[in-house]
Amino acid sequence: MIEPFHPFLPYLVGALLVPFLPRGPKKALLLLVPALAFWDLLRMPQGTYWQVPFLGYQLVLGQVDKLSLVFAYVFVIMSFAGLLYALHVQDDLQHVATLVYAGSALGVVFAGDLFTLYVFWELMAVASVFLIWAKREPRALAAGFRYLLVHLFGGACLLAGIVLWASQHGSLAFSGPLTGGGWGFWLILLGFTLNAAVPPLHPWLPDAYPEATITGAVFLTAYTTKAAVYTLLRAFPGVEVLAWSGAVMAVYGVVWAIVENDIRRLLAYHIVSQVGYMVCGVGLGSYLSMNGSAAHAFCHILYKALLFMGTGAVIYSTGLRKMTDLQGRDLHWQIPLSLVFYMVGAFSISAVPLFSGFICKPMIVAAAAEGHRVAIFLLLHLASIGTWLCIGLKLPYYTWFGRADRPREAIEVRPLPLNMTLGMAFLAFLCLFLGIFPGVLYKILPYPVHFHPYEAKHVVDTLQMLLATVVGVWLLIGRLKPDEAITLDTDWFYRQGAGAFLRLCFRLASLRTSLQEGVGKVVAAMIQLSKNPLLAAKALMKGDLEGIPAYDPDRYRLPVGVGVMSALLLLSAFCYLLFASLTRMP
Amino acid sequence: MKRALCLAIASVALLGFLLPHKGEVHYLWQRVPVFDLIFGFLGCLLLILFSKALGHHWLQRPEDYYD
Repeated sequence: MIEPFHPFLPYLVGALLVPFLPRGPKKALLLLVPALAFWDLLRMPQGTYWQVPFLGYQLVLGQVDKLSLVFAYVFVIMSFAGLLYALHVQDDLQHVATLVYAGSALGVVFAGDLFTLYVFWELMAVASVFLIWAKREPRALAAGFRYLLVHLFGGACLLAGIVLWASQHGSLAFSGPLTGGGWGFWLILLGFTLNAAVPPLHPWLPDAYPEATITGAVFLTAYTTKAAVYTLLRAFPGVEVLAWSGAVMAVYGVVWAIVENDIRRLLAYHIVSQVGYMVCGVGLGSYLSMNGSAAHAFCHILYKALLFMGTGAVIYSTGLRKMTDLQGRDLHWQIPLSLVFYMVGAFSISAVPLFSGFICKPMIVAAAAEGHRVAIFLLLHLASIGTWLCIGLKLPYYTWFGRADRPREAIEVRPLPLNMTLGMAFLAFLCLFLGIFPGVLYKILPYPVHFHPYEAKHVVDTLQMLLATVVGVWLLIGRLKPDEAITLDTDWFYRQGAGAFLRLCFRLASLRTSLQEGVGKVVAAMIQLSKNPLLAAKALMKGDLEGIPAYDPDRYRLPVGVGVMSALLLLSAFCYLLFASLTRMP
Repeated sequence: MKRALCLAIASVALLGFLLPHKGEVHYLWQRVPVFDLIFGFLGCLLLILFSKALGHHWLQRPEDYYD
């Protein structure tokens, strides 16, 4: 019997082997790694494992409880689906980055101390940026650098928080809620909320994810934000500011998504919105809301990846990413499967009954109602409308249907590789399975579940809301038309701010150069003038410093006779005065 | 299509009247049988008009804005 091992291990070994294997075995390995990790998770009993002493502290690499397991399960399932979808990719860099990224996300959820957490946290940031850079385009390169800088800032806040926390409490343990406030508390919270993309710290997400490779973006949607939700659930349940930021962020993402034209950026804004529900659930702090956050993270990872796969399939087939370019090309005839699978994801995210979102999102909304949080309840409810109108109606209409408003060049539509279709089918199956059999998920949630989504009244209310939104969209479909424009977000501050700072630096540099030049000129003039001070005034008046002849002492020396004559005169005068004074003396 | 939508709305509205709210009623509006129909419609209009106005009058820029 093999002892359970840390699930990061198969991912690490896989990442090390990938570059050295030929194509066939490589594909087998890519699917084997998550399978092995899942088998490992199934036989891993709850408890604390792999403790290492470090600088007087105890590092815990394996803290296994229900909360960490529910995230670990979905992380592993997701890596299987994503790798299946990416199996045709012949770029080892992406496979290696994916494996390290997914593995380090598992490292985060099993970390039992803050230091281990920090190491895997940073590893996630570094590995994930390669999924953006792997596109090897200038835009992706720039977006990747911005992504990395933001995450390094977040990581620095987290590390500072950890150091302060450890010095204040003398412990690095990360097993239960952190309480007590202080700088350490708030800096750790800041680091976590940055990765959870809580506005105004969110713009890295819609900036970077749409610039990643088609398959890379699928993984990006799953890990960074959800690992952050896990850490918030573990350490900051019931923190009031999270309840409010979550509710606001749910609506914020929706509003920005409605004006978006890039299909994957639209979906990225909906990650912000959906993670808002989870963050709000953490902030509400009841068993129902926290179960809701964990369940929502589980389902969200699967349906959001499916949505990114569906839109990724469109980009793969057409090479186009904006709705203004896609509308009116009748893609529903040409790539119908991508539409079908996308719609399964869209129904799931919109919490349509029988799809996975319906069994998790209402838990958080119900928790807000139970806690008598009227404003939060209404904000979350409003965000659900926005999700359905954007992802369920607007995006598919303008991507696979719609009418072209100007004649355009025809494009060749590439057929999808089988593995991409299979990856989508697998996730679509899971979305439906969870929607129909919610008990499977409820059983593995961290706290006991007493929630029944399929209550007749709840189903009818949901259908009312969905149908009313369809009518609203029908009436205003013209107004929803995507515009060929980008929408500013809070990244404006650092993108324009960095530009302004750079311009200031250039100004200062040129000021220094002109100062140096000015001083140089003055010194040169002084040198020139000092060659012949007698002519300096004249040269200055003429403004011709170059024309000053060098000082020649012979030219200005008086004849010798003048000197002798002066001496004689002086002597005579002296003698006269002397004699005169002597003769007058009594 | 229009007819099917009208029929569907009529039936969910009717069902809203037929099915009473079970369990605890937290807010007054939970007693309104077609609350979600009204909230959904108004919320949808509000979101579209507000977001588009925000975009057109304030936040949208040409695509090469940052280049």
